[in-house]
Amino acid sequence: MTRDAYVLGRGMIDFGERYEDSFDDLLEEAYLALLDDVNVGSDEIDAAWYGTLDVADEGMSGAAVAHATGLFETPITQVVNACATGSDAVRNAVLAVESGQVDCALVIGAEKMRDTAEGLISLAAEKRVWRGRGVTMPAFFGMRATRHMEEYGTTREQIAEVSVKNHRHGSMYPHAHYKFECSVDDVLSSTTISEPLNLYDCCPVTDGAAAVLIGTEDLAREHAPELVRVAGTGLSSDSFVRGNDASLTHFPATRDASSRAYEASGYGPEDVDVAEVHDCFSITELVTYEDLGFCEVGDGGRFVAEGRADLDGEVAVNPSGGLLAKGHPIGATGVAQVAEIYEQLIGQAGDVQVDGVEVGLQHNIGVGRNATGSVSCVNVLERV
Amino acid sequence: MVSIAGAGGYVPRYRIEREEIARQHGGAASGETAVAARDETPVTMAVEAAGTALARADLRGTELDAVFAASVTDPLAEHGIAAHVAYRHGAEGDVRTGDFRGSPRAATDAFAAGRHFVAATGGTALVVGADQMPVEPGHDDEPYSGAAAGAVVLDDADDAAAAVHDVAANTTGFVERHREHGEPAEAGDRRVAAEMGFGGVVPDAAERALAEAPDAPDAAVVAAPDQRTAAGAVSEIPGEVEHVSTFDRVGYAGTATFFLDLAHLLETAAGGTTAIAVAYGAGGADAVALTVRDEAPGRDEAADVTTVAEQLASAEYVTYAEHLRYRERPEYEGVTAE
Amino acid sequence: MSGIRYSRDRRQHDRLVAFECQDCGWVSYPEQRRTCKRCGAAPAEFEEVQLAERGEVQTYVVQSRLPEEFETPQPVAVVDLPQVDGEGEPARVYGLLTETDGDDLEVGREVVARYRELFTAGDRPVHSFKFAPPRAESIGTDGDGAGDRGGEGER
Repeated sequence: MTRDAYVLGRGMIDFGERYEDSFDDLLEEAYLALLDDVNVGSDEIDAAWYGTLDVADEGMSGAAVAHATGLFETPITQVVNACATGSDAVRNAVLAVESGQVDCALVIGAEKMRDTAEGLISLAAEKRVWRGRGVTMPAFFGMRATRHMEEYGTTREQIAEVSVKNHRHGSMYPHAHYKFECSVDDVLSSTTISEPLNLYDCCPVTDGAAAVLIGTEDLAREHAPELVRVAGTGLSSDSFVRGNDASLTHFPATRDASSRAYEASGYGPEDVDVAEVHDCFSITELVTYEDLGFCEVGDGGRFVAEGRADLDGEVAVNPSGGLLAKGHPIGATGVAQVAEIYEQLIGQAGDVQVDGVEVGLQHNIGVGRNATGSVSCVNVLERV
Repeated sequence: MVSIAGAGGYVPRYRIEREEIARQHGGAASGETAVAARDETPVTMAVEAAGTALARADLRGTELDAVFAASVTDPLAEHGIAAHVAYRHGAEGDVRTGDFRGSPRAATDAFAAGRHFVAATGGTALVVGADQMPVEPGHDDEPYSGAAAGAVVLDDADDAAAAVHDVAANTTGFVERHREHGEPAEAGDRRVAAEMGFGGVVPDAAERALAEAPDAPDAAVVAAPDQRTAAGAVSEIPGEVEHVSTFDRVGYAGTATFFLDLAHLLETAAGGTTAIAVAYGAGGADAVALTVRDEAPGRDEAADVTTVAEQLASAEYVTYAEHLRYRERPEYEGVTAE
Repeated sequence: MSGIRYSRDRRQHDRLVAFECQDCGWVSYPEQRRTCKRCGAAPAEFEEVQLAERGEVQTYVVQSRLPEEFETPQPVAVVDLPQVDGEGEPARVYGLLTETDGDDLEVGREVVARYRELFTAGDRPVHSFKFAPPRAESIGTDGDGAGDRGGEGER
């Protein structure tokens, strides 16, 4: 038996440096925000999928969610899949509802990134020969920027435009970590992190949590203001070391995950009205336009510079401000993106609402120890 | 006869101008001194020099039968250099290795061991010296404490780069200069050292080494901790002798100085040059007598190697602070998952 | 050549030995293992190949922010190392650069492999290769270009 899965509601909390809140506080707040949005009783939740890398070492296993939510004696699965953790948690809940095993599934993601000042930079000191020692995340992604500029004539200014756009959106989105606007010059003159990438090309280190509820069409009709169906999902994993040429400028895993999601949904890139995509760095979003098929390969720089990713562009990309402005609490990121696409599809996205949206796409990319785009998850949602 | 099939030197790219050190602590000094980068050690420098020597000799490491290494600054008491150099260049299994240390004379101890090995077995031996001298800010030796490596490949071919006539030892048991691990040396009374040490031992060793040589020496290499001592020793060698030295660009680099200067001599001397190469250290001195051959394969200018002269000329100057920092062992805090 | 985790792949780390997939031609470095990381052949038939010590930069960045044990700016590059015999595909590696000014890097630049200490396991050094522009290119760029065969400069 297969059936469709729908989004029943969402719980978003303010992303930011939540020094006063513990990991548990974030989980509780996201769960309570969800209950505030959708009137289901906890006894109606059949199962939960929980996304976290547990960077803070405080929330390992489903027991952390049971502890934070009171969902005792409930099957809860922790999902860990690099930066695609949150979106893969959603995907697993969708599969469970589609299979008929589960009618109502909680997806909750959380990450406490700011309890250590260093963030993930200490990973670069890993004592491994060759496999990524001395290489930080900005380097993994920045190497694509260098090569993209070389190969396609993409300019540094075009890359900066991604950050300018997303900060503009973030300044209008209530839950964003950073709410300032910046210019291309601001990006180009910000502190050098990993040349060619500067500080404003990089997402901040952010605490956060988010929740969505996935369920059957019957439950959606009962609880949701609009019917939002998960039209297709795609997950793809690549090896750490696949040295194919496309990996120098792109993310083969995104291409594969999105083609799976497109095929399952019956939609193509031309049908997508709004997208929340993985912009851990400005360059990541730029090449993701190409990987998702929003524009031709090599055309990502022009795509953003010409405003085609703006709120009123061909595809509104990252109305929430994306990871660059909203922040990137890893386990929560993908869940929050699905929540935001849901808000867009039900017309409740406030100041960043895109007009006339029917199809939305959510995307994450995670890298392994040498930046070949090891894992990507894409979920396509539609308003029925 | 045992021959040098090929030689190679390694000089770090980083240098400190001695004036820069003099500016910190007063006094005057000219020239420059080689500073190993943070990721260079006696092992890595030895590997570089050995690679050049092997390329000069047109040999693969797998063809080596023995690898001997000299160092007086290896930071590890047990770990060694020879086996690492051997393995890196492909030599394993029944290859004989040996590490020589405890005195800068370890350079000639290793050389003599290589020569004996070749003479006894007909095999091929690689001999390498590598050092990174420690410094103490303000110490007299600070401007001259260098880093380098040098290597020779020894075999018994007749057409090699140079013929080795003999290695002569002169052991006196007299020790003035000494050094604790990681510390600069205590030079002791220079006049006593000059009288009892070098002055007495070098001429005798040189004379015996040259006994079988066809000609009087035209050139000399003398590895000594300071240039006045080295020049004094050269002046004790009879005849018109050119002193080949990298001291002004490298400083004193322990056991490496002997091999580096020898490589520099082999790369620059005219065919037919007879030379004497001396290493002085605690308890005596040794001298090697050799004659450079014409157009020997091991001196082929077309070989894909970087000569000592080229390395001397390829320098990047560091600040005084960097010169101190680069000599400290880095502290690696990253996680080891073993 | 130290510690089991590092000893396991010591031929690769010390000698640039790599493994070519006989199905798709991909060159695996440093790991061999039994499956091909590109075409997925399982088990793959791997043939041992020797990599050259000169390669070409495919892309790079110059990092300014790293844990304290690194010196910054620290350039890092994706480098293609061809096989010594000129046959087949190159191996593609992520390599740190040493003694290299970021301004001296560009896509397509030739670099040479330099054997260096990467870190220590306990107090035991672990060595393998970093990359740098060929030494001969910088002759005379900073030094005065002269070899020295005199004994002057006594102290």
